[in-house]
Amino acid sequence: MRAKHLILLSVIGIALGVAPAAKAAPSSVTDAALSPAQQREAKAIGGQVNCLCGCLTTVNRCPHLHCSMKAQEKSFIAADIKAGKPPRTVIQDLVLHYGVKILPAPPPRGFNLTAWMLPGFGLIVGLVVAVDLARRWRRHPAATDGTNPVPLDPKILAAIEEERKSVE
Amino acid sequence: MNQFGTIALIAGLAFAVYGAVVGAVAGKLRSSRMLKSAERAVVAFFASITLAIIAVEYNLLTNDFHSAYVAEHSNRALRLLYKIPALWSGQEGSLLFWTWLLSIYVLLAVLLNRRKNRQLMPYVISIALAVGTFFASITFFLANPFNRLAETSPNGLQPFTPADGNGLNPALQYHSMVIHPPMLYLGYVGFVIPFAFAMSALITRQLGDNWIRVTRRWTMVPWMFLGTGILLGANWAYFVLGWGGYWGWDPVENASLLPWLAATAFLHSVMIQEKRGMLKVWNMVLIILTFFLSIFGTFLTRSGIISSVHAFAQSNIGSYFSVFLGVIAAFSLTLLFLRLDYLKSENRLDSVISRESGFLFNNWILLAAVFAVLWGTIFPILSKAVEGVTVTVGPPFFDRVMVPIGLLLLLLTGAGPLLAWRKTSFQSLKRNFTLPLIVAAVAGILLYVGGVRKLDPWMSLSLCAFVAACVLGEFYKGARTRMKTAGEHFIQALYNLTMKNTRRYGGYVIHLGIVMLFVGFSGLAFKSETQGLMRPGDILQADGYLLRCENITRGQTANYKYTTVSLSVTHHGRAIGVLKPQKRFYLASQQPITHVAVHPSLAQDLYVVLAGRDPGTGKAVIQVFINPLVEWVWIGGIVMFLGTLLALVPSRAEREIAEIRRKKDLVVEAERAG
Amino acid sequence: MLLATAILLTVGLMIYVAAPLLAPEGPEESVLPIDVTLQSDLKRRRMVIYDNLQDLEFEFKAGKIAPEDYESLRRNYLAEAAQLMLASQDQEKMSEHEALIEREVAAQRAALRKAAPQSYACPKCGYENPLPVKFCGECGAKMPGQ
Repeated sequence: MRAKHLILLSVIGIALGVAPAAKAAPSSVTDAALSPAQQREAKAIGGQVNCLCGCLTTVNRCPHLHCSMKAQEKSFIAADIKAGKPPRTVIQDLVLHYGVKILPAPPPRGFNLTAWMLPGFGLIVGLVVAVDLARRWRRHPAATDGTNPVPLDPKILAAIEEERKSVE
Repeated sequence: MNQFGTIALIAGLAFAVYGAVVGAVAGKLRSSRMLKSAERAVVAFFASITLAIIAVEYNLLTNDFHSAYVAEHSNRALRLLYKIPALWSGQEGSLLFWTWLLSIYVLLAVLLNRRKNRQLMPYVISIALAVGTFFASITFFLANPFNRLAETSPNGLQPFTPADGNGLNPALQYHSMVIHPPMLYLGYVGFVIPFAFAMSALITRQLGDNWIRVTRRWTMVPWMFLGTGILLGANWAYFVLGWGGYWGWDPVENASLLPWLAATAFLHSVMIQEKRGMLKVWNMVLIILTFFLSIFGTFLTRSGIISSVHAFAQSNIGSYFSVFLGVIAAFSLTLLFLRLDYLKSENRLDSVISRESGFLFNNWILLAAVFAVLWGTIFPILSKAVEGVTVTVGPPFFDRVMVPIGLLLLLLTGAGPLLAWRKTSFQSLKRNFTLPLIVAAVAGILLYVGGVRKLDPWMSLSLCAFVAACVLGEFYKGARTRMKTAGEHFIQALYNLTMKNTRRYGGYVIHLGIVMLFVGFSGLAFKSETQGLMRPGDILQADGYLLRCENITRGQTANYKYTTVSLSVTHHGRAIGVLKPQKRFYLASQQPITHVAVHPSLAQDLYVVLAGRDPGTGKAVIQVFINPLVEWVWIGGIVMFLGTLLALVPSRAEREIAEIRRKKDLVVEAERAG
Repeated sequence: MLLATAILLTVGLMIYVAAPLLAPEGPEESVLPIDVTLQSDLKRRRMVIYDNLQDLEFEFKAGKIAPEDYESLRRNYLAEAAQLMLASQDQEKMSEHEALIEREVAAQRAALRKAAPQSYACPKCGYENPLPVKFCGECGAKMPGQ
């Protein structure tokens, strides 16, 4: 039920938001009009951009049978390829047309760069903290000294041995 | 039955509130009879919520479509097998189910601690039931599964009973979907208990490692369920969604991964505290984080603030969850801060090359993974807030970020257990690492020669060889020592070795499971895909496989229409059987769904999807994926599950201690009886 | 009918929950027992070290640990155990001392209680001195005994 709503909503959204732009794109071009090499290229691009129908996967993986959004994007790609544009340009055109959200990951520019930087940054900060912690631990004035242990009282040792035997 | 359920739910809510308050008072006054009453409130809470669950199930099984919940999530033609799990297919039922599982966990905690931890229990009950209060009230006030349908008519609002329901989401009508959500929930919910014990230890200042020993098991159980739940979800995605993969870094998938990673870190660093009395504050932080993330995960899943393929929940409960999360964080961190003085380390680190620092680095990597996944998951919200632009953070991002982290983790999985506690000299290092390194090098060369030329899978598989050599070496060395000292034969030695320290060797088994998971993940780099249009008699070739279309059948059941394509398959000329991919169209929900046909093998899966019907030619669109090594993911999951069970078996020493305690109790009771 | 059942069940559960509060309580049950005493905590920590030692010995026998490492680690663990053992013994002595002091105090108290009925009246002037004194607080005459 909800999934249906979602699809409906996204279809409406597309109709309202993207339709004027989509009109500009030649929507009649299909895969069939391309050579096998071009078809492979189109397929490769289809794996690099999202289907915006709400399925949250790439165009190639969109599970919907008659997905108008998928069809629209595919014909957009096909048209661009037929016009002889290289894949990079096709993707740029798609972004211009549909917005950044068509890319499955944010482009590493501007604010979006933080998306890419922060995990690495976190990893490094974590390492610094861990190393610092290890260092402080080594200086920790706790119970025993690892390097030169105190001479052990034989009486205590005997008591320990006795206790060890009693628990085993 | 709706009135019955409503009363049961109100009663459950009341008992939760009562138990939370009386538990805290009992702890403050150290009153034994108030604790008794609080314990009984737990029983009553469980009983009431159970009655509410029974009421929902009764409604579902009797097709009471007057109930809004039943009308929305079930229909007459739905198979009985799927009517029961319809309970957790929607918001209202899920929250009630969550509450019920919580009540089971608290009840178990009370039953298993009737004699132990008497000072801790009042607060444990209080905190767990406070969480229970939150979920019960969300269920009752905001997502009540006992709401009834009504329609406006000239005579005002009239009760309304539709002839049939909307039906269960067809994607959920699959067998692993029946157990996936309960497993996942058992994981999410279960972290309440270790959290409650930790908080109780902080409140009562009983911060010796008593709480740690109690908590360890209570963490291992939900950890096991959560991990299994995640893999069952992956399994469902693989067989139902039909895009040839099993993990898509979807927000809801990430949400379940987060507490799992944090709990994994906790389960490891707990050992340092137990053995060496160190990392006490850190362990508190980890258990708080685990619980926080498990509630956060529930929140992501249930509030729908981030869109996801699991878009089953758009609702207004998000803000309540945010407040609840804030309360948890404020309460637990304040408490921790107030008790910092009681959490001093007992020992110091002797050497940087030691098991202790191995665990430290394990924690570092796991927490970095938590951070990266969390960051990627919430980045779309941040981006929307900061720049006003919606971006998608999908698989390319996570693959890029998580692969190096995963590989580092894999390395530690093998290397960590070989480091000795306190310090490891170069001599000892040489003894332990020579053989695994040779194995890894040989594997690396063989893989390269065998054609694995991509860096990521090559490193991953070589590391897998390294870790497997490390872990199996541990078993072998241990068994050999027992053979020498106790004169046992190999199998006997292996068995005794394992049973004497189930925790350690269970842990090693889990590490082997991890190796298998990574073997499976590595296969992703080599997957290939072919597509073809077929009608009976047509042949499709895919990487050594020949698929011949035998026939296409169409039909209808009460619940759905279907198209099935029968394909006879040969692999390098050898017949391997008939695959029948199916496409279904569910009538009640008007949704199509694919049922994938898979020919599994340890080397690779042949995965065939009936994608649809080509409008031009009328032929069936058949997608064929060759997925190398996928089966290892499921095998690894099973091995990890079994390993955890093994680690949960009390070791010989623990059983003896329990026996002594039981005898002491008997003596005390006899004395009391006079 | 169902409604009545639900209400009845709820009331039943309420009685069940409230019962312990209403029942008279036995003296030994009134206070929650302590989970961990200092002595048991020390012992438990020693047990952990013994475990560690056993592991160490096993790993040494399995050839995982070089002899030098083994020797120094073993000594370290023993030193830790020794410290805990000392603390334990101190604790025991402390509690013995405390018990001794307790006993002495109790004996003194008992003695005082016995002495209490005896009065500190001055044999000369008859004044009831409030405390045991050497000389009478009224007339200054020497008091007997003490």
